[in-house]
Amino acid sequence: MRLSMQQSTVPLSVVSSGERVKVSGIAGGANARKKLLDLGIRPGEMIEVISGHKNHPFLVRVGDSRVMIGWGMVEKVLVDQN
Amino acid sequence: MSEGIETKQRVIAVAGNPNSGKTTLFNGLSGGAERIGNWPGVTVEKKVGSFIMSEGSKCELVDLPGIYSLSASSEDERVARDYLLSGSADLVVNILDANNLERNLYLTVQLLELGQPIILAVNMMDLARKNNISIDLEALEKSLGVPVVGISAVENKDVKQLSARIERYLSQLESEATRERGPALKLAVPVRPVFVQYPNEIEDVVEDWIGKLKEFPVGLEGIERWIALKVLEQDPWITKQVTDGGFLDAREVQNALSRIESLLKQPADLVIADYRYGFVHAVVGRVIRRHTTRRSRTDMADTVVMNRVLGVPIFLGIMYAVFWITMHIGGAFIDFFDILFGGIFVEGAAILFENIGSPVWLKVLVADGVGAGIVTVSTFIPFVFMMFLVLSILEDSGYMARAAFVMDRFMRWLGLPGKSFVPLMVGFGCTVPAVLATKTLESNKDRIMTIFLSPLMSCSAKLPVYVLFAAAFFQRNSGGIIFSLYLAGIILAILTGLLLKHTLFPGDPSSFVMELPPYHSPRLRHVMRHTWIRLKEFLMRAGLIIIIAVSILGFLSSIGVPGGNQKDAAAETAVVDGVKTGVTESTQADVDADYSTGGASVLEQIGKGVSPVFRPMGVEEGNWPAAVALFTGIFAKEAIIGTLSGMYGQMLGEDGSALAEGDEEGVFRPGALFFRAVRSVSEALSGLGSSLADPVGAQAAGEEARRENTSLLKKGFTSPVQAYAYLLFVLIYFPCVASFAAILKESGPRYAWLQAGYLTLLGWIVAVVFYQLAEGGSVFWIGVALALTLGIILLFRFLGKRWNRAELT
Ligand SMILES: Nc1nc2c(ncn2[C@@H]2O[C@H](COP(=O)(O)OP(=O)(O)OP(=O)(O)O)[C@@H](O)[C@H]2O)c(=O)[nH]1
Ligand SMILES: [Mg+2]
Repeated sequence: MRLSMQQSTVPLSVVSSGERVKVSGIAGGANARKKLLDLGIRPGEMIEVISGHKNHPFLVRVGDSRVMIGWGMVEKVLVDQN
Repeated sequence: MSEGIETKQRVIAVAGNPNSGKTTLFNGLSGGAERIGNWPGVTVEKKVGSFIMSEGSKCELVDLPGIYSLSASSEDERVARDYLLSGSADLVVNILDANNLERNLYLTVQLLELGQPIILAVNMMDLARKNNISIDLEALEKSLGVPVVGISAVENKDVKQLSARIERYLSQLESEATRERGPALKLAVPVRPVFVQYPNEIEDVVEDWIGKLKEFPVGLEGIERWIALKVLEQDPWITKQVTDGGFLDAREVQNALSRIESLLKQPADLVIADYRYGFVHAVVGRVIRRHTTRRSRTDMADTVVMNRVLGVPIFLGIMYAVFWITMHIGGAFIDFFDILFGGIFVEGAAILFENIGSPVWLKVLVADGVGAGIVTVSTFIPFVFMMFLVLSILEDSGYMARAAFVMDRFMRWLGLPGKSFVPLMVGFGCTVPAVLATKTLESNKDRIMTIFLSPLMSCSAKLPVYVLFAAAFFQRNSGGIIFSLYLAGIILAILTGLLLKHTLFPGDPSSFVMELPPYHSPRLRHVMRHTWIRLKEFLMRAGLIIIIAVSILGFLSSIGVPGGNQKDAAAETAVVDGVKTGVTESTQADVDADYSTGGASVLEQIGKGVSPVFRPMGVEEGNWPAAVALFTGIFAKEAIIGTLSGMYGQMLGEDGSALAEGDEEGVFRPGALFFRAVRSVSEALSGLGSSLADPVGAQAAGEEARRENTSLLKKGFTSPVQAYAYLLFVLIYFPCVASFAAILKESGPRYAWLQAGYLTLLGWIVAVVFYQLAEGGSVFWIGVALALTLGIILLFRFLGKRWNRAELT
């Protein structure tokens, strides 16, 4: 049925530690978007999940920096997962 | 010193991303001593200084909180944005972190779009070299058309070089401005190049709006394009200004936004950010020559420190180490200071005054009052110094932000975001910066709640009070006793958090994004300087307060006591003897006799008037100085010591018994004194090895201090339980005036008074329950305390329903 199992858009919250994924969008209001964009988390950018566990903040690498994203915000980051 | 326009002092502002080294540069240029730390959000207020450029002309220098963009979502970011938009600065020094150029340039683009003259200082070049990042500064200068200087803000010569470049650029701008428009006040950049070309759908709207925004009142001129873009970025503040001012119609804005979104398939703010990043990316591609990413040590450390299982134990271990080092290493030096200062200021001064034949009252006041006050302060130096030292190391290491990560889960259980943890940690140093640090939190609810908890983190001014009492009453256990007070504060903060979460501030904590700084290995010079600055501040404050308290209270308490010196010497000796043998025989009658002979002083009457309130927690009737001390403690917690030692000391000093203790031979011998002092340190340190396993069994003070303090304090407090209950109250009750002023400013009068009242009542409840359970045994008072607890809960629930929640988000 599903031909392109290769890529699917999922929230960052389901990505596990060590994976590198590409940001595809940001859900939520302009305020949340602004905070994420400010720190370089924007569509098209590759990010690496250094540490990601349910109900904990996620630690991701974006470019040259390490960013901690609170759990509530993690679900707003949409990524392409292969 | 020429006349007219040219004499106007130029204003230079430092702006850039959080943690990029702005304050380090500010301090370097201005010689200031503002707070620096290795986490984002250290500076939360505008700081003004000045610096002298080479030719002797002076500039005003402004340090700003860090920002990632010109849209603000927290209090500190608002300060920076408002300042930059006000147009007060003639030149902005934009600091960038060389190790993270791309993200840092994202702000630069926005500053360039503002059209403000800027100069780029690419900072942390030393670290960039270590990380194998090489940056072509000339290429960067060409790409952006503004001066670029590569610096390491910790290096003096780099700061000088930047200062020279600033000066040259200023005079260049000045002459350009003069050529175009005659002598000018403003150094606005003549041509405003469009840095980023956005898609036509956006540019069309911007063009349309520019005309309508001509009259928009902000300090900076000619920023219509920037404002139009901000509206499209959905910046709530700018949008409100623009629509309220009638420049644009709210519906018009909405229509434009949805039109752009439907055409570009993405919201306008995302598109704008994307184009800015695109521009930056292209620049960075030209500028960074070599960039080998390798697993840094920071990453390796983080896998351990921020590990899901190990994180919390490591955090607890670190906090334990902070305390252990403070108590043990600091404690080793306590006799040193005590012997040395005691010798000079008490024994020495007394002998001096005797020799020059001054009146007895003067000798008593100076040697036993002020002198004893100085000695009391001096014995705390090692503790406070150690506390500041370890906190400085911690703050410089980069761990603070990690603690926020590790403790996030726990903080959320209290209804707070992990980010709140940073202000609370700062609170162990001082409550004032802790309260200010809450400015970095985004929601008002989180801020006020964090402020509510922050005074429960025992600050460095409370530490001396604990030390003094612990030394007198708990000798061998003093370390454990002090540790238990810190713990009590933390436990009460947790309970308070839960109470607030279920009453006044329901709802989820706001979600946050926070950058984690790289670890820095502590640099000795930097850390020592930092510690010294804080210690100096502490000593000036504490010294002054204690001396003032001692003098004034000593004076006040002698008013109306004409016959004080003819006190029954026998009775007095009996009390002192009782104390010396370690027996708490000095009964209520004795104590009463002590303070009430010779009629009541003004102070005594006040003290006796209020002391019934404190009686249920074990402050006996004769111990009215303890009640007075709680009042002076509202001004500053150190004043509690000043008051107690001043007032008890006065009582002892009047018949010379305090002198008799230290001054055995009546000869002042500095050499022997110093030798004794040094020996005390080596003795204390030699016992250190065995104490590692012993958690907190440090002795808060050595022989000398203990002997003196014991005799003083035991005049008022007849049992250790009374002393501990008193300490519990000191830990919790009304914040000092400096903290209260900060709280008032940050939470507003309503919450500030509620908090102060809550803390005072809580202090009373805890102290009373403790005292009555441990010693007093009065069911009545325990009942009263429990009823008050219930009252607090009901009141908070009631207020939670009444007070408007809308203002909290
Ligand atoms: N190695 C190195 N460290 C630096 C340099 N400049 C600053 N630091 C360190 O970077 C950290 C942050 O410095 P701050 O001056 O507090 O940064 P800030 O930009 O004022 O930070 P906020 O006030 O939080 O926005 C501190 O630990 C500094 O010691 C530098 O040139 N080299
Ligand atoms: Mg700063």
